[in-house]
Amino acid sequence: MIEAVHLTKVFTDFWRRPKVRAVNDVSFAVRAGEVFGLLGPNGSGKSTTLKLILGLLHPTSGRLRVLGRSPRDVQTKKRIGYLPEDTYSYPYLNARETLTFYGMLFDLPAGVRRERTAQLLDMIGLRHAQRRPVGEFSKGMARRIGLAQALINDPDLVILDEPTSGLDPIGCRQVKDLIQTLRARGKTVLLSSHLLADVEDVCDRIAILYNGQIRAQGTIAELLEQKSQYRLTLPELPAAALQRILAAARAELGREPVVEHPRRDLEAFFLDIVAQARRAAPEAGGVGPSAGVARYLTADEQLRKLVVPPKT
Amino acid sequence: MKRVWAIAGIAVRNAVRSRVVVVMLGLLLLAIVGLPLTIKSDGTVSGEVQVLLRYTLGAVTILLSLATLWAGCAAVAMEVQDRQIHLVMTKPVRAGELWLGKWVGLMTFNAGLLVVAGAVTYGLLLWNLRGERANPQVREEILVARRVVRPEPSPVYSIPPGRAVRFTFRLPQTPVADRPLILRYRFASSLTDKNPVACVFVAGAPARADRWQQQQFSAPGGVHTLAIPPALVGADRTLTVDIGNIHPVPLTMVFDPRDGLAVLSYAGTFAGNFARTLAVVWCGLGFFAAVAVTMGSLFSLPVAALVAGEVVLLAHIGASLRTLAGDESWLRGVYVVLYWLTKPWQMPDPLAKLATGELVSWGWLGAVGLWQVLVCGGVLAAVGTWFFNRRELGLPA
Repeated sequence: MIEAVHLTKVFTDFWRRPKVRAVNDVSFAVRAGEVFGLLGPNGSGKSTTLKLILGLLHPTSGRLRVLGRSPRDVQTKKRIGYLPEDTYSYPYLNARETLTFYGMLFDLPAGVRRERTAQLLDMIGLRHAQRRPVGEFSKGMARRIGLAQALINDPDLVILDEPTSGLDPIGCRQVKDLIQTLRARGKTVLLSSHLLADVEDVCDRIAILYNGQIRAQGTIAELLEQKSQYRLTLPELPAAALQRILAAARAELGREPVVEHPRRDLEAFFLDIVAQARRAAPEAGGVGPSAGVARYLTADEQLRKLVVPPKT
Repeated sequence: MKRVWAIAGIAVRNAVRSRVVVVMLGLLLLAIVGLPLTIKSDGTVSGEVQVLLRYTLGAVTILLSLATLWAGCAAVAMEVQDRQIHLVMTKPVRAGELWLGKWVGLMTFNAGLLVVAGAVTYGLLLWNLRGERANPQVREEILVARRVVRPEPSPVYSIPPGRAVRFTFRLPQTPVADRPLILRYRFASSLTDKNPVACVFVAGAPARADRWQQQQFSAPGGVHTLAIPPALVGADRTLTVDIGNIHPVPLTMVFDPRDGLAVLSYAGTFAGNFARTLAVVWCGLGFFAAVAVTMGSLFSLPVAALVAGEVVLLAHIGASLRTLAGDESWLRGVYVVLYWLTKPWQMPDPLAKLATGELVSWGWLGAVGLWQVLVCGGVLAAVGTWFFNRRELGLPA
């Protein structure tokens, strides 16, 4: 889907003198159907790499192919969905008009545009705010609109720059669920983030950038697995049985093994509490409950379209 | 075209919702209603009407031109600065579609404002001419569209004492039977005083027995008119006018070959002329919009506004450049080059024609539209698109 070979981007000043080498001899490939993460601290070259892939910047040297073509080819852009780091939307348009506008840029027929806009507004929980100008939205709400516009064309390649930035834990979870849904449908996702937990949750492969260069690249398992250690998780056991197991481990290791109760992660706990609160007070303001991933983005919807014959 | 309409729609929506339209309407109405109260006419109804048509619509044109330049430059430059362009140009949008969308949006906005301003001016004109104020002179000289016919080139444009000179006017169409032809003349005198000069006008083919004759006392330097029966025009649509200098004090009458003599023949209604004049103004705004959108595609907003302003200024100071090019200045060469470079954009003021009852023809409107909108706009669009395609939109701010 994406092939970068010795990609380099040097920013120059007005007199064309080199100023910053933002991307330095980077090579990587993103395969169809995988979720690829670009990781790195601020200023490491993640956003510059994404902008090169999107055709917003031109490489100084190296070779870059996206979906088999130049990133600046209109045919390439038809198959890409892009969520930028900040949502650069038109402040005087409301949520529905914003999605309609981007749908028109993809030349979607009016009926498809209407249907997808409605589904996306349900998905991001902003149907109740669809007539409000986007300029009045909170950062999280604007971010959700940004995400929705990135999906209006049902893209084959989704490029997400800091997708969970500005989102509450519910929004973060929804984004991660969405990415997994897209992967299940064979879509390719390229995301850049410095939130390591998010990347670990959803990415198949990652590349870590620092100072414009790739320092590590591979699958999450390859990079993170510590093959010299094991973790043993046991169900609740009678005290005597546990003592027998520990004694065996102690004898084998020659030292005391680490024993502790596993903890739920904070995200799961938070989502549980909010779900309970929402059941108790369903008319709360802000972002409404999500209706789940938009139907047209799910595999079921695609199958339904294949199986159900069109009306004559 | 769907993408072009979408981009144009955004431009119009933004203008309406950001209250730019309201502010512009307020300024235009202020100019239309306020300007006639502040500019002194010659005290006649004709003078008031001419102020309303020329200066009020002139102010409307200037306001819309400035707004067009600014909005056109901002249309792309601000989107690049605020990075909204990142979301647009990562969609399957060609640079040409972006350019055209912005231009169409701007011109829709201009058309709306121009229609409102035109309707209010026209309403004000009708109100101004209520009752007896609509005298025949105003109706026949201003509230009409008349074709201007200059005399065929003559070897002589000066009339010595006691002599007569013949001028021939070849009319493009047979004149309307019940509408008199108007002979408009202006001359200079070889004497320094401005006392009226006695002269005689004889119209009609020399062989005709029913030649029309009129003796006049006309002041040198002023514009004078005479109504001539249309029946005097020959079958070959030729009108012959002899002008005799019969002033008792010897002096020579000198007519300017460019605009000293003209016959005005009825060619249509004032309403049609008014609409065509607004259309010519709109075409001019189209050229401004093309310059501005192109500059906005190449530069940041302040630079684009400055360059676009300079280009438009140069294109519209042709007369001054011509004068400067004639001076013996060390910059003469520069003025000559600028004059010839800007010559294609130098054209008569349509508002001056409207205010003097001259025809703004469909042919002229078509030529202005073809040249300013299609040819110049097309070239500017090609230049803007070519550079925009090579521009890196994702550069750090």
